[in-house]
Amino acid sequence: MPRKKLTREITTESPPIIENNVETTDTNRLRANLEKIKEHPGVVGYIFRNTSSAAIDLKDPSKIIDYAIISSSALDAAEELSTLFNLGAAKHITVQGKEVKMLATTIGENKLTIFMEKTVDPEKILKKLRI
Amino acid sequence: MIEDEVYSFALKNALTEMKNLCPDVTHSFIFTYDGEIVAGDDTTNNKTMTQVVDSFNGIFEKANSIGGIDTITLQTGKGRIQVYCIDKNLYMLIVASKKADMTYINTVSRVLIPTILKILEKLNPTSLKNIPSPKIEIPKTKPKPKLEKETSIPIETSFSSSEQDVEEKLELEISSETLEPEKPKIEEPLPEELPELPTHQLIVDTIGGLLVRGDTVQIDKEILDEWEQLWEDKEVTEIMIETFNGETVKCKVKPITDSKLKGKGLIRIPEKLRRKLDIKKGELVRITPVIELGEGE
Repeated sequence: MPRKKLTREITTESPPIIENNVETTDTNRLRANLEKIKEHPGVVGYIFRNTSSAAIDLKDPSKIIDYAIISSSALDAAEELSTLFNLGAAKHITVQGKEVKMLATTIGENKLTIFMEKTVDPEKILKKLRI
Repeated sequence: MIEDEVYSFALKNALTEMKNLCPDVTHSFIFTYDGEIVAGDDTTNNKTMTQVVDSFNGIFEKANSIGGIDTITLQTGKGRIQVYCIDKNLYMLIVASKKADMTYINTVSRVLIPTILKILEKLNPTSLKNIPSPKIEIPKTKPKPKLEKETSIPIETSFSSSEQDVEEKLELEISSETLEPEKPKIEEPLPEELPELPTHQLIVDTIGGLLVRGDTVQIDKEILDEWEQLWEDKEVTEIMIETFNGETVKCKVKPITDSKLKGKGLIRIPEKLRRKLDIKKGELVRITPVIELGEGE
């Protein structure tokens, strides 16, 4: 029960107040895209966060904590590894589990992770995200 | 220890060869799910490998939530990092430049490395028998025929009887009775002044972990004490393990440290040694103490 409540609260929270209009537009556009992606067959949810707000929408709320940790770990690892091997800026990281696939990326200040079934092509999701 | 080195050496060579085949691969190494580095190519140092594995810690810790890790792909501005599961517990990391043909690299790496692993799994036990080890000796010549004769018939019978014993009490008994009829088959009898070598049948349990010595097994302290009394306070530090397939191995012995496992009639064998002996957890083995003075000399 508390977890469900938390999910709803985060998902329906009012848009963040960001002084920079461009960022606000980007954020709104991303969130709108995420809503569309959520409807894509096989997508099981997403986690979106930036410095001031977060949105989590997962079909299975019991996995919110685990998914949030793995999402954050993946994005951190992406940063660390691209620096370590001098590979420039990290674009996106895909973690394929035996049950679920996860696509994590950073766009501006926005960190987002999309969870999907194994059969979904993450490239298609990326395209939808960047429209 | 030696098999680790052989294993690591073979994989290191394979990784280096893979790099020669695919020049766009800049780094590659293999690590375990637990974060242990197994082998790396000649351009990737240990520090870098450790840092990479540390970076993946958070992902691997929560891997269960997505059903375990199959692959991780990081796309960056100048290249790509790919991690994929090559065996149950083994992962391989490849760092490639932007222009790399990942299809070709994947084809090479996903064929070459698993094949090497399979070959190693098959060849290693055989090759290890040929490597003289200062710690673990697998006698092949003289003692083997004696033990084979001993084990061929009577052990089958003593095996089933001992299973009942184990179920009843799990206390270890000297099964010298079963050995006595076999005595005439031993070509070189033991000197008369020495007591007969006591034999125990124990249930195989395994020991794992990084700090476990590969050449030392653990048995009940009572058995060791018993032997000590038998040989007038002479400490027994080595035993001969004999499986029902006729495999024998001499190795060091120490008392069982885990209090929960004491007095259960167990012999705790390191995983690698267990594989070498081709026995499974729960099977029975026969052990005899190795006494430096007199015995077999």
